[in-house]
Amino acid sequence: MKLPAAMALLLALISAAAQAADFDAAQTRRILGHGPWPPAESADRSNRLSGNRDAVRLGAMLFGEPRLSGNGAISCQTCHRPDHGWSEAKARSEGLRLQDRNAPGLLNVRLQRWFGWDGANDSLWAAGIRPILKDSEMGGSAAATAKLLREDAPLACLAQRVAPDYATGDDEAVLVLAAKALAAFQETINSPRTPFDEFRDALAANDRAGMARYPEAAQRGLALFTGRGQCGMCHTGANFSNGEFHDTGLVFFLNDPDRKPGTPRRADPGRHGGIAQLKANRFNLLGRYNDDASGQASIPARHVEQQHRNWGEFKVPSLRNLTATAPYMHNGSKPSLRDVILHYSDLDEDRLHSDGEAILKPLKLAEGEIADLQAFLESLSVPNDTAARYENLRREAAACR
Amino acid sequence: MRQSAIIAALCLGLISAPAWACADIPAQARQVQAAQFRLIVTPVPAPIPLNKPFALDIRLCDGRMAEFPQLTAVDARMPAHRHGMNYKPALTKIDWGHYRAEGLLLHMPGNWEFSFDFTGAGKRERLTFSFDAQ
Ligand code: HEC
Ligand code: HEC
Ligand SMILES: [Cu+2]
Repeated sequence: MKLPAAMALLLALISAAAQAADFDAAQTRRILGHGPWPPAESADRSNRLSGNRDAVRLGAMLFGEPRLSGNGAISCQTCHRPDHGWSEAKARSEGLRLQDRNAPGLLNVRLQRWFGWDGANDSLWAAGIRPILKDSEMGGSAAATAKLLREDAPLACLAQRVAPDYATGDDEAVLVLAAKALAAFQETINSPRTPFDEFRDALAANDRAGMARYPEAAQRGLALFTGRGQCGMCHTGANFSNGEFHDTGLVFFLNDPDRKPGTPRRADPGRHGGIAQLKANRFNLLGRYNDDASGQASIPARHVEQQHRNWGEFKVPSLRNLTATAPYMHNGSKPSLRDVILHYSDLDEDRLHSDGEAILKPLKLAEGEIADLQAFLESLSVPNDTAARYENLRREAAACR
Repeated sequence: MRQSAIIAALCLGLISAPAWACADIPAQARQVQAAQFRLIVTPVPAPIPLNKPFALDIRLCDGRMAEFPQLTAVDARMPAHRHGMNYKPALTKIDWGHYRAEGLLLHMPGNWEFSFDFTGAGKRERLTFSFDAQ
């Protein structure tokens, strides 16, 4: 080999090594673990309507249906707004009365194992029954839902297609049918690939040009996320959530505007209460409405066990599409992503249980690091067309004869 | 007659664990040597997935069956994070020295310590091994 050629090769190797050094082997493996996106589709075994196209249309119709509520004015869409990442701008939702929690965005919701900030439901379809029946939320009933599905022409037409003999079932069975159609629809609201996903695939393919297209601030933020920040301990996998529950040291007490003087302040028990509710819920996957004969779908419900430390734990949310879903956290207490990052930077260690998660430490981030983490989080969001597809589905549904 | 002979033999501790259980050890199995026997643990599915339920097939080998202690509990913890699993595994005895634990789930990446509690002949024993979940 001629000397200049050897020199050039050596130089190329050195510069490649310098770039690759940004992420060590462990970090590279962790980054690859946040993909691929989109993940493989699989039907929900607990819901026989999962993937059924008429059920998807029926679900889309029901999602915007205010007659499911007691006062005829509140639909799922009131709190899960298609133009707001399927969440809403209010810190805490307002149904018939003020709720304790923030409405989570529903994009990619099919990837969850537990539903609700406290995971009180173990299926997507049961998570749609709760708001309908809860007095303070929609205040509806099985009877009113069944009557609507039997009497409204387009709804009845679609229900008939999905389950020809549904009208002879009892009210509760019709409510479950409606909830399963709602779930079939929600399974279709998924978000597309993001700049992060392009970077991750370029890294997997060792495509340097592709990697270089990812903004440097986002790359530095990603290095913090998978390194010193330890964020990926809980925000794991392609959807950036392990689907489980942790205490991140937020204030326990609810800010109750209507609290009467002299009454104690209320606290949100989080996962501790969620497990109790799950076990008491007749619509859980241990009950008669689970369509999965294999027993696979109900494994989490069968084995989950309430522990003292569950008190004040909340579900790890996905970090995709966050630019659309402010405010943040279970109680909507953080107005912006910067506020969330500052929370992790200045964690109150005294507030975290002494016997609790040992990995959360105040990160004491520098101003540049805060901006980098934010740039990384923002690189997990891109606009999506789910709102337009929802309107299409509703038009198709309304045409059922 | 034959059955009672086997039972008698078992009582005398004459029969060893069946050879088939201890010969074909899957590549993904973990083994721990105890004083009286060898513990062989095979995850289902293997390797253990992160954030998904899995089961453990658990066998006791290389000892006299009648001397095998009872497996009473299976658990996994993250010592560095000071917490265990969010799920309680269910343990079933399939045969002499053969158990299955269902419903385990490792919800964070990093080092987990699996533990297996035995009681037998009036004493308790705990066997453990570490696993790096990724
Ligand atoms: C009054 C506002 C409001 C209405 C109306 C409402 N939701 Fe929600 N939704 C919320 C809130 C708040 C939560 C979080 C609940 C909790 O943590 O307990 C939530 C949680 C959920 C979840 C769990 C998401 C996750 O990631 O864990 C699903 C699914 C859901 N709602 C679907 C629906 C459907 C379907 C309807 C209509 C039948 C509906 N919601 C109506 C406010 C609302
Ligand atoms: C110990 C597990 C854990 C670690 C580590 C962790 N998070 Fe979280 N994260 C959570 C949980 C749990 C919540 C929800 C808390 C709540 O609402 O009570 C959350 C909420 C969030 C939210 C709000 C999302 C929303 O939709 O409301 C963001 C953003 C976030 N985390 C980013 C990060 C970043 C960045 C890091 C690293 C600096 C990090 N997290 C580390 C568990 C964790
Ligand atoms: Cu841990």
